[in-house]
Amino acid sequence: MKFTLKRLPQFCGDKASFYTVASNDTELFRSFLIENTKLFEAELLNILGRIKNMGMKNGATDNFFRLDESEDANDEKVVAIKDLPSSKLRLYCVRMSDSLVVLGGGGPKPKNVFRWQDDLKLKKEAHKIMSVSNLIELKISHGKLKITDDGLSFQGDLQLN
Amino acid sequence: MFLKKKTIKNHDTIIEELLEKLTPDIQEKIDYKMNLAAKIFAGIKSKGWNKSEFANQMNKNNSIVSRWLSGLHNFESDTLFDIQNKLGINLLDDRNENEGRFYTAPTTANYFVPIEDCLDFFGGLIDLKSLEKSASVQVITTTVGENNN
Repeated sequence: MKFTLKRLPQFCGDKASFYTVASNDTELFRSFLIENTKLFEAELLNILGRIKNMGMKNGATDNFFRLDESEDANDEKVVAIKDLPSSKLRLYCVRMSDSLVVLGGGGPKPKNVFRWQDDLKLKKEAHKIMSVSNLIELKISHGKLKITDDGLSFQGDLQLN
Repeated sequence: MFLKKKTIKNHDTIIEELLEKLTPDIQEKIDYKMNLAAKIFAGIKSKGWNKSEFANQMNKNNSIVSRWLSGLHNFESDTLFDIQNKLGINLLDDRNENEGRFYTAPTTANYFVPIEDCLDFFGGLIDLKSLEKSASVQVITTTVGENNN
């Protein structure tokens, strides 16, 4: 199966663009929405509204994200979108810059879980996004994938494997 | 292979469906909070501070400043007042509705002055009629506020 960086035009604007990772019949971000829409619709709407704001108005500046979500201390790009303090949802992303973000998956974070490493689902989703981050870095370092001059798009081979 | 194969034929439009539920009211509230956080963040950067330095300036923990900058925080007006004074930016517009015109003096705090007073100060250098053609007037000066103090 091929995995590809897919642009999400619904959230792209002058300030930032958002991508996700897609295969033939699924996408990380779309799966996250499907899995959580029944129980956490209000939280999802808040997350979608925040993503729209970043795309159109303020950019994906680091203050809007939880940083240092990666196990790899050198990978500062793996982050999670901050949501309402009362919310239990985590959405993991690769924040390439203030203007380019790859949305991954995530899930509910129970109150008794302090670290994502302690929750099976969150651990799985966090590891996926770390893999995505590594693959993107690899592609960029090999010159197969580039970021456009305006910083708003990936260019080149968008397939990650 | 890190993606689990899953049929989502019935959920092709999940993003669009949720975005339809994201009413202008909800988006406006989200935008208000995030724009406020962005304004504070820009103010910190224009002072040449990082978040920790700003936290020190405000006598607060880093975690509190992170919360302020998250775009999720419900601010008390006292907190906004303290932040705007420290950063020299305008976060609280305390004008009455009939005081629609003002100028902002970028001193340690921002003072709203009726446009007539502003014109008096400039001794008629500004053409009031041309200013009144504008829907709103914002005269920015770098020295007026400080010289008047």
